[in-house]
Amino acid sequence: MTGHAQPPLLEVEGLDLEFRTRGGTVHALQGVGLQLRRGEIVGLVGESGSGKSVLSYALLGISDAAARITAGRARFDGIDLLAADERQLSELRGREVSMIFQSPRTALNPIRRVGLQIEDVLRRHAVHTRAGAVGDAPRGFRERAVQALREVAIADPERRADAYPFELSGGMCQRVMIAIALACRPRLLIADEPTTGLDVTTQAAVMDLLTGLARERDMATLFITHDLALAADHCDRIVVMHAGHVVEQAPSRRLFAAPRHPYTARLIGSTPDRDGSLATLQPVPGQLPDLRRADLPACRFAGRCERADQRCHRERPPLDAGADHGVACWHPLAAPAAAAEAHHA
Amino acid sequence: MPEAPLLQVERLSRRFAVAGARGAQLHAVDDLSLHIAPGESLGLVGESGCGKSTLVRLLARLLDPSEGRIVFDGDDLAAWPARRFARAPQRAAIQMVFQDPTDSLNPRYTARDTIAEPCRLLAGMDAAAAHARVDEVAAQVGLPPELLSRFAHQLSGGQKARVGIARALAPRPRLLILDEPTAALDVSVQAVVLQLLDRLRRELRLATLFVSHDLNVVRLLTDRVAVMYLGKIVEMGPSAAVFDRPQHPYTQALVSAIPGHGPRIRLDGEISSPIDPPPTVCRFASRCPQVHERCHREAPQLPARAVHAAACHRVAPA
Repeated sequence: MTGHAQPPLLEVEGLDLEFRTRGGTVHALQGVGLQLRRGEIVGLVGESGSGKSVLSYALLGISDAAARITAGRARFDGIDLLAADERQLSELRGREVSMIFQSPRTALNPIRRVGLQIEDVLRRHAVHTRAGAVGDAPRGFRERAVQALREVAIADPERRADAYPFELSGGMCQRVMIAIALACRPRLLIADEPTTGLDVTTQAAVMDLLTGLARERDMATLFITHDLALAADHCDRIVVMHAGHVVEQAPSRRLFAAPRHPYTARLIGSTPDRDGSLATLQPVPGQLPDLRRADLPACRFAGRCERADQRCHRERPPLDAGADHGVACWHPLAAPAAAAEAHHA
Repeated sequence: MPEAPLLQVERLSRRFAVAGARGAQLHAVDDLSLHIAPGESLGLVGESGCGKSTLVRLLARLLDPSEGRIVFDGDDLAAWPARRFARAPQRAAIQMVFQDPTDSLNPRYTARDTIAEPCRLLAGMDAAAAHARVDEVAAQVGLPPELLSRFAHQLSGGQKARVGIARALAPRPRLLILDEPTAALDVSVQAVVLQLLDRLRRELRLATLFVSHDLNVVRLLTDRVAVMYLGKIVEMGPSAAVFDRPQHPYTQALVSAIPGHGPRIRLDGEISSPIDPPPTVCRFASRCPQVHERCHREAPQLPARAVHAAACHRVAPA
């Protein structure tokens, strides 16, 4: 770890989470480590089922009732998220830490005007904080809601504040979700697949808006996606998850130019890009292991990996979450050439 | 054109009445023409709401057009009402792979039942012939025989996608319509399914209409591509040319929005309404970065018979 004077805003260490189900215990997260610095935009990528959403729900204390956190620490600005009681967490949620959910149409209340849904958040935290920042007069809430809509580039916000979600397009609903999440100016935003189901042009506009606001407000953002190219375009750093493990984390450009974990390399190789042909597209072999198995290999990618040996099945490779480029692999791909290193330094 | 087209769509329109506004009509597909040659793969791209799905449903004869002709192999299918088309002889010849491999499978059917149904209903096979056909087509799509007795919930996403493709291929179609066939799949699985689709269409010499949001995927799988905006085709041409040298300002913005494509062209302004659009204004004028005065008094037309053409006053036909 080199010269980051400030402690990270969010620090997760050795987090284990399991679901007790009728079909057995699902070991959804194991020894997960993650760091976010102030104002940093980090992409969390991986296949469905890799534990991306489970991790973010756990951080917000909104996990499914069947979930049990069995080990680990998660600290946000010095607050222990795992030890906090529900009252402390509800203070934090929406004000300090906010979340944008995957599908805006189902996350919004269908029978409440969108302006009022933004006011709800403002009102909730105004009562609890008694701080002047949010404004207390009823009239102030309406104005702040309209302002929030204006900030997410919704045209004619006074009129749109009175609209119901069904009257708005998908892209517009997602902007409303962003407005709700950012209404109290949180310091950490978790965005779970915020552009899934949107068109490329809308996706680009929503991502530009999100990252623009994040930079402007120095808001740390954890951006969950399965779209590597999208993450590379918008994030400072990318964290790759596979089957409940973090397998690699690195600055975006470096991760793409020189992935070191075989899974990351495979994931990049399976993503269609502008230059490749169908023949060069390389599927990731096999599928995620069943996380209910008691005999999971120590490295959960071992069963799909052509570089795996006995050690990978026996002994879990460690990952340095604070390093500039961390990789959890006993047999990583070659480190980037000197030129790339120099460029980065 | 070296070969007579398999599908020739001529001046096809579909308008919907708008609830609560008497006489108002939404122009979902507007005076649209295109053709697909035997064995050719045509891509269809555009934003949601541009009329892609309506066009697909018209071509699959699930929806009746307001005007125009859908000539398939010499017959005008628009003459068949959609509700009777299920019994038309061409029903087997035009098949569709749907977007969501889970939602589009009957949860109470095994994979074998799913694939056998169109063999019996559309291709008129008896039970034994259908059984043999299921084995054959399952092998073609790489579905292991032991999975055929499973129900949808016992299959992975990639396996369900294969069942959906096998079902469409079972009655030996000549035109396959693929509506976002990999949108619900992880990239790791998507690559396999894309390669499978490409191999199948070459081996079986299938004409395909490939609808997708994902422009990188469209580029890989199609010979030509049509770009749709508010009910009209605004650009059409060989896929490589459209992606590398887009002519229409909308296509240029669309291509620039693909992640990893560098500098982005921002589209400001609102999408104009598809409800009774003024016929003399370019539909893209409200968002076009290159708009000029002529665009507001004369709607540009897509030049017919050009290899690569755009419906834009700024572009001279290539």
